[in-house]
Amino acid sequence: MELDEKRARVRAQVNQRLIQSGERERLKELLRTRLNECGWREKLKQHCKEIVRQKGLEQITVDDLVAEITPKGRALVPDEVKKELLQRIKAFLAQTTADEK
Amino acid sequence: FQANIASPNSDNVNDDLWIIVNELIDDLTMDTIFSCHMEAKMGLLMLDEELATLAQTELSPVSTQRQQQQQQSAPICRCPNCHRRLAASRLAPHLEKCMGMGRLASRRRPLQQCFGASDAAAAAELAAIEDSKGPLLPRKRRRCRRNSSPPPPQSSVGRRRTAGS
Repeated sequence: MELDEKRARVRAQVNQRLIQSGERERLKELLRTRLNECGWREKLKQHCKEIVRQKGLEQITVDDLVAEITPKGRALVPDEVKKELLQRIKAFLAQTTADEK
Repeated sequence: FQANIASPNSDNVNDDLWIIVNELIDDLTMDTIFSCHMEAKMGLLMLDEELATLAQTELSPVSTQRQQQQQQSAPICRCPNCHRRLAASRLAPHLEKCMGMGRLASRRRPLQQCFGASDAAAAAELAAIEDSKGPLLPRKRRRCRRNSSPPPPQSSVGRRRTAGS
């Protein structure tokens, strides 16, 4: 649909701005710090171990883990952390828009 | 609040920003997935659990008793030469000395030939002397080397005098 394409273009532009300014790396580092504090990686690793036990060590593939673990990764991130990231992105966009004006 | 997290409001801009937040989360999730997959294939993913289980079984009183029983029930065999009773794990080192095929026994053989000690008592006496005072005959320099590197150049300092010089 035309609207979806437009939204995809806007999203790509926002991503490009985040990457070029280095803000995306800073956001990723902030997220990594917050997730380390809440033990997110250890919980995700436990889920990985369960998947490996179910599927078998020889049969497990990256695709299997991606399919099973990606939704869990999103669900395990605390809401406060997601809100903080959202606020940071909004503040960045507002700042760059103000700078352009 | 949970419904708001999935889609905060009807504003498309906020939806797009949530997609960007989820992409950031997915990046870190992929890092974790790749490292877990590599650890799994290298046999390291369950290592900490296996070590903990192993430590528990080694420290348990049942496993200690089992070790003692295994030590007590080690097979005993008899030397074919001197007919002495030995544990199976000690048989090979004993046979080296008993049958004169080990390193020490081969060193003592020229000693017996030089001094004409053919009987067992004299050989034992010579062996005792050699053990206390060191080898009575000059040791032969090893000609074969394990690696292919040439021998280091000999320096004049601390050169050992040979019997002829």
